[in-house]
Amino acid sequence: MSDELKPDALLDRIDYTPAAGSWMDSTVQIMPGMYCYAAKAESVETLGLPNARTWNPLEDDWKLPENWQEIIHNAIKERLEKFRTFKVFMDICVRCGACADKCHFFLGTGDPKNMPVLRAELLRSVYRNDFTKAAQILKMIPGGEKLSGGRPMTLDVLKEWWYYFFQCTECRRCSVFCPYGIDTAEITIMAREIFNLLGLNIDWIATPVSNCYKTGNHLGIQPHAFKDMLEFFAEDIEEITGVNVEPQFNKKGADILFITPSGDVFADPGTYTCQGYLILFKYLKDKYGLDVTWSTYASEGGNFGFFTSHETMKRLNSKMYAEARRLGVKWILGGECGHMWRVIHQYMDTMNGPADFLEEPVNPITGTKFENAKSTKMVHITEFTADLIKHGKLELDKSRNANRIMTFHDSCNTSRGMGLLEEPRYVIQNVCDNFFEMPPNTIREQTFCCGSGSGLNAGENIELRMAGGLPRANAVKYVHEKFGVNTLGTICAIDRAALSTLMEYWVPEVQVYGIHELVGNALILPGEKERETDLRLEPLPGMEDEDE
Amino acid sequence: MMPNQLIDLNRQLELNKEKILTLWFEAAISSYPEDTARLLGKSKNRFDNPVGNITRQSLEDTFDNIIRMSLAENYKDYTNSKHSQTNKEHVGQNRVENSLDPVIRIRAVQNFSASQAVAFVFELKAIVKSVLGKLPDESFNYRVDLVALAAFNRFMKCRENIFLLKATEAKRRVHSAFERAGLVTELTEDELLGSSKS
Amino acid sequence: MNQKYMLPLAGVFLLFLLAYAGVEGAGLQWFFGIVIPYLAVIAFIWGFVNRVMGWASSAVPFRIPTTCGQQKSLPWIKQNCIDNPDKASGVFIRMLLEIFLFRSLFRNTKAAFNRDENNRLTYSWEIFLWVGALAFHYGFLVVLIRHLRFFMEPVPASLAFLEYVDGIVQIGLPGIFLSGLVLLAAALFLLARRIFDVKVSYISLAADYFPLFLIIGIAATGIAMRYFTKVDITGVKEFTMGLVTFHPVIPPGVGGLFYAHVLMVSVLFAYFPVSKLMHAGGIFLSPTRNMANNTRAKRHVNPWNYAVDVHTYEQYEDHFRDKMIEAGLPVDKEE
Repeated sequence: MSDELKPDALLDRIDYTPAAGSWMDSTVQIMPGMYCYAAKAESVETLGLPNARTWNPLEDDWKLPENWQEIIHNAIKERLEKFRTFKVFMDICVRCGACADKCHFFLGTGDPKNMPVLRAELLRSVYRNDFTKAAQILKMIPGGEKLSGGRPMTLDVLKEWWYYFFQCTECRRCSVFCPYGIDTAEITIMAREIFNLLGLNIDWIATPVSNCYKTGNHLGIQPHAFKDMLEFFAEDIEEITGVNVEPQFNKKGADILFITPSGDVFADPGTYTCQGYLILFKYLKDKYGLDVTWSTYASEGGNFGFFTSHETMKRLNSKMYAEARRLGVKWILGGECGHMWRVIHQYMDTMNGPADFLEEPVNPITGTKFENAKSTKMVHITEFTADLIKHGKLELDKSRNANRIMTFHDSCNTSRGMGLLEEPRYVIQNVCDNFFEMPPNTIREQTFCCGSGSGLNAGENIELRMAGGLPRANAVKYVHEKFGVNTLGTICAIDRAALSTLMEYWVPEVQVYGIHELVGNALILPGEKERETDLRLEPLPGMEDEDE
Repeated sequence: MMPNQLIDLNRQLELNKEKILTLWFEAAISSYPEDTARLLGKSKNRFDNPVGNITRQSLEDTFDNIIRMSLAENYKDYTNSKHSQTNKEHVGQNRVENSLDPVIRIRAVQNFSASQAVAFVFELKAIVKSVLGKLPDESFNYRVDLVALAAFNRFMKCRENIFLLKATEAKRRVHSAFERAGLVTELTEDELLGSSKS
Repeated sequence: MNQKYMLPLAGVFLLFLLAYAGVEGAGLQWFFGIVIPYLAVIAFIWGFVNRVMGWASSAVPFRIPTTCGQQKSLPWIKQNCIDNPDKASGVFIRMLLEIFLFRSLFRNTKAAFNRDENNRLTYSWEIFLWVGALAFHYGFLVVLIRHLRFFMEPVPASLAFLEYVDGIVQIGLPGIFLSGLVLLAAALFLLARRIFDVKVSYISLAADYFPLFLIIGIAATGIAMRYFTKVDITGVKEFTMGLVTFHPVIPPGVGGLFYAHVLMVSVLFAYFPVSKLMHAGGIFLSPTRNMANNTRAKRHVNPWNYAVDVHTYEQYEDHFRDKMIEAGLPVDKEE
């Protein structure tokens, strides 16, 4: 085929001069594997959200409300007044390009419209056209429209928005590098609020939200099944340790209400992390008399409402305080989750507080006051466990994790929306001897997203997820090859699910673990028998032979 | 072809390796939008620019394998699956496929058609011709064809891998936990493959 | 040619010609020297204040700083007080570093690990955007301050000192001011980056090229007047003092080049508030940078918080009561 090709012709194929056309000229092509299916009408109805209907993103007709342009215009206008972030971020971007190569979706898919600046420009171009004086003046001059960098809101523009704002995981990595702190997550959140008003939800978000609203958790697991599941874990743990950990449910007057994402209860490998929590609570109860209860009503820590609209987020989040008040606990302990913690840390108290019916959280075992949580009254479990370990309150046998060669993936939300960096590392290093960091430009505040956050961990968009997760997987592969890392620690339920699949594709030798699974393995329960297996029922290091 | 000629060709390929690889890399990344291609070619940091760096490394490894290919290898050795695994040529095929794996694995999730994903292999013929200033003999084109076949193989494997992950992810994550707990007994075909929405 | 930058370039040329011809040909000194500058200053002040007030009038419903370091948590864990501040003092330092040193932009240039051909670790520095931006802004600042001498009589000693430092490299007569050259060079660099770096070119709009051309035009005419055409400084000072004391005069012997310079500066001022140049004001109001990360310790109030529909525990229990009782879960109402 290429026999006739001259070398110059080959080089010419990469055109180093800038394109004459503008990115605004091209229309969007929605590609399979890169988008998520439309929401089921019934899920949208359950929540009483607008324009519930059956529709398909691949069809020309999206069955929009007749006045959809007006809805968008008014929605933008309203949000410019309600959110200073939105207004300032619409105005001050200088398009310096510092963020361009910071997005995992851009790095993985190679689609230039995934550069954060351009993702924001998709919306900004319409904002400029409709809301700025400069554009209105320029429009009066012939040809001036092009100069203003604005464009009118058309169906093509809307489809482009929809396609690319569902290729953003709201991870905020771009915001770290922006000289003005422009946060694309904030712009994506506004865009998704607008989609919500038009009924352009995706099913992977809308159905969990609807389930969570009605039954208390994303999977729609009913109270008795929730209990069954935890009791089954207790049986498994008893088999391994000989101790019955006896989880408690909806218990009034308990000391602490524990809430974790339902993924920990119902999806592998989060289930093992969940067993870790159960072992820890049993230990604390036997040794120190700490009374922890689970709730079937507030049985979801995650909040996919956050990926729908601020209002929906508030509706789902309200259950945490409501349940804590009903049960009369002292304070709330939260499990390992990413966006759940963004919501708790930066939104919950503002939305559903003040939590004046709870006590300022104090660890009754160590006496430590959790000063940083004294208003919201909810403590992250790695803060709690790190405090226990620091005070020597846990008996740990590191050797049970000796076969785990660890690295740690910082979740976007806990690193860039909270700053929880050292606590999980401290816990890891106290339950496991082999810990190696990934390169510095891929961890902590510069961590790469798993590629499946913000409600994008569906099945139909798996190519997008695998491509978006490539920068993360690439760094894991590096430490796997260099240090023989075989375990990727996380403190996020979406990570535990998404990274497992990601690893299977890119670095199949690496397994994904929650931090409290490792704690559960290492923690020596009072009266336990000699353990032969870990929580995954695989032989403990040194026990492999006896197994045969 | 005489072994001497082969050694001579290999030596020339070795001598011009840098030049050929640069052109080959550019040919490979020219399948991306130009704005992206420029970026992929620029940043040398393997963590800030994974696609560019993995592509470059993978092409280099593949090129080394092309030079190492022995004369005895032929299409049959590369395509006949009945060959025993210990067969020397079969090892060669695996080696080529493995060196192609990183670049193909990336292209398999980037919305390329099968032909777009592997087309860069064929570009090598024109590149080598232009760099060496003459048409390399038949044996070289033949080797490139073998690499192309290996690329097709690997692309298919990656796509199968993707479809398998897509089909079984939900089952393995959620339903396996349920099954262990005895909350569900078995799954229907529909549940396994996800709903049939478009 | 690319109209994204050709049109702005043509526009700046047109401005130059307009003023030059208007003064040299039509004798419109009063228009370009008096009317336009006053209008521009009014537009600048009015527009700037309006824009900032507009931002300030928008609510800040949530406290959502981007955290770039360890949070304040347990007493024995060292907090990163600047990148993840929990107090106003930390925020202040974070903002200072952001505004004066472009700290976030600097992150780009952080030494990053790399492997060279021999598999050795190396460091790469992508420092030029940061250096270019710093040079540009500081060059501009010094030039601006230096120009205050035209609006003050007598010239304060601090200004004279600044001029002394700026002119420390003494080449030729009149002495070279570094700031002007740095400004011109940095603006040219930023322009070249926009045109030749495909990634940046792709995201650039006409509105990104226009101010650059304008500033290059201003710097070029300024340098031309100082070093080549040797403008009548006394005349210029008479003119500027007239403007600032509201007794405008048109001095004789000041030519078209000067009025072209004044027109371009005026356009820059008037254009400033309606353009991206407002980032100068916006950075102070950016909620991801100017807020402390202490939301869990100190309640933040959303001024428009409103009640929403929720699914209450009572509704939940009503729905599942039988199943809950059967499973042995405690319920509030036993029926």
